[in-house]
Amino acid sequence: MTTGSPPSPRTTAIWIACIVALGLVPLTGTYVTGLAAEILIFAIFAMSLDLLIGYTGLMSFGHAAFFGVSTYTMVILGVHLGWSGWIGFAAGVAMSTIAAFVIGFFAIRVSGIPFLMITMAFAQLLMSISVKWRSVTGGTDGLSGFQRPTLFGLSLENRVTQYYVVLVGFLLVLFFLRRLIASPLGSIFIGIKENEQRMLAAGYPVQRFKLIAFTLAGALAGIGGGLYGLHNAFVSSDILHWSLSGDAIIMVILGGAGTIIGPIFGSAAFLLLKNVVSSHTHYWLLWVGTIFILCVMFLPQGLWGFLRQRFGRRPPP
Amino acid sequence: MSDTSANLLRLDNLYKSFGSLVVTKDVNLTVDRGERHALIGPNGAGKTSLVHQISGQLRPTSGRIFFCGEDITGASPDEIGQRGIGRTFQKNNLFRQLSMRENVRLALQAKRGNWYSFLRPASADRALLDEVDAILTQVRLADGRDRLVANLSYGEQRQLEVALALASQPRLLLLDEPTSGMSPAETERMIDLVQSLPAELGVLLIEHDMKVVFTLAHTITVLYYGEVLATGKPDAIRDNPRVREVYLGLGH
Repeated sequence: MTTGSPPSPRTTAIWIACIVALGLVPLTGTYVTGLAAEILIFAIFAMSLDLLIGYTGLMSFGHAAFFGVSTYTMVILGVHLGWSGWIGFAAGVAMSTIAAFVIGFFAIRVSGIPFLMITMAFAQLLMSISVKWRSVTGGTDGLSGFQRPTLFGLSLENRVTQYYVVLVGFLLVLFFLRRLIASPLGSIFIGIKENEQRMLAAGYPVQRFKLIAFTLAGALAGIGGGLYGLHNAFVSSDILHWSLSGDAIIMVILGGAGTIIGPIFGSAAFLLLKNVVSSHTHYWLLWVGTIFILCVMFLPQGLWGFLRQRFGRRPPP
Repeated sequence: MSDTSANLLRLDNLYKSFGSLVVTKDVNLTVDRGERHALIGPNGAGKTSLVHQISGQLRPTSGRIFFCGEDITGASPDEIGQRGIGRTFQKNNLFRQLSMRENVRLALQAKRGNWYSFLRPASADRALLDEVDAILTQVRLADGRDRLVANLSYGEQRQLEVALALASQPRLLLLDEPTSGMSPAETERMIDLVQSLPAELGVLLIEHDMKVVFTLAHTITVLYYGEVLATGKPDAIRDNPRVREVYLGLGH
């Protein structure tokens, strides 16, 4: 954990190159731009989950709840009350944060498998509400007719505008997490993952920090969910399905848990596989599953961990 | 509250049982400021269970624990840590994937606060890092302070255990078999380390190595099946026939 030393010119150059490349994506056409936006949205989602799995050691299996609550809040406020998507976005993130605080309050009382089950149970509870409360949520058919807002006179109906909004959100979350992980607060999360008993003996109220991590992760997932609402202008109960929580876990582990960059790679790998393979075969999940198993067996540190070992000389950014 | 005549630590009729198994039976014990108190006894005598109760990992069935005159019975481990009881563990219990420096920095940060700072890098706190280095020097860990704990030698990890306990700036230090598994040279270094600790610090030391015990201790308490068999000055303990019979052994 050597953190905080000023980045080398080489590292800075790579960062700038990556950001410029991301900025140029819309030149490649609508299809790729849409896919890239989706990758960045799920990267936010996976990064937020990695704060729990990779940094605090909390294996949450209900993270879709906080993604979905935000999307639902935004789309429901827009469709039923005609609220602007921007206010809906803020309200969505706020709702996700509150939901994470409440669910976290109960879940952190246990750890390990019981923790996993409780987080999943709460997410399933929210999903059944979304399925049953048809008049508000549209149930399994979903809720369409959301009007995307405008930004400086540019409509978010436009794929390119959408993409840039998503990119800005992604970069903000990315740099926030980098700061957080290197900070005193972040070091406490890492300490809890490493050795909870020792953190207690040192005098840290561990439960309080688990709840902070859980709430923060929920808020960040809510940002992802809000951007997803702006991107899709549609929401259905699928967004709260447990399989989405599972996808996020796969992205985190595939890319490299306990790293900031890993989940981005995980999201990209997962969605590219989904898009490329599913155009050839219905059984695309079979391939995702196979690759996931091979990754866990042969690249236990994930894609990013492997790349870093292979090419990197420096500690992770 | 701060009654200066009060003992640093006082156990009043401490009792702990798991079902029918009694691990601590009516134990009375005191540690004063600056006292080096050794707790000895055969395996299974209840020494570590006693330390777990003092540090809050285990809740006693009955009896009271007073620290600086205040009742801390049943307080949580983190609260007890904040009040000024530091401990080491019998088996190395460190942050294995973090560096030596980061291990101590985390423990020190627990006392220094600034917990919720989330935008400035932890490494920007130069003053804290200087203190970290001072503690590592104090426990004689001089080189390779950015090495991961997992890559340290066993003896170095033992020393780091003490560093973490000291970093929480305790008034009472609980050392659970600090020299277990150490080579004679490493044991010498540990004795030297404990002797160099601040004079006002109270130390409760669990130890099997009689050389360490008789070199360091001002007072010795012998536990036997959860009960205090004898308490006294090292010479009195050495000459106590009961203690010789059950623990020290005539051959020693």
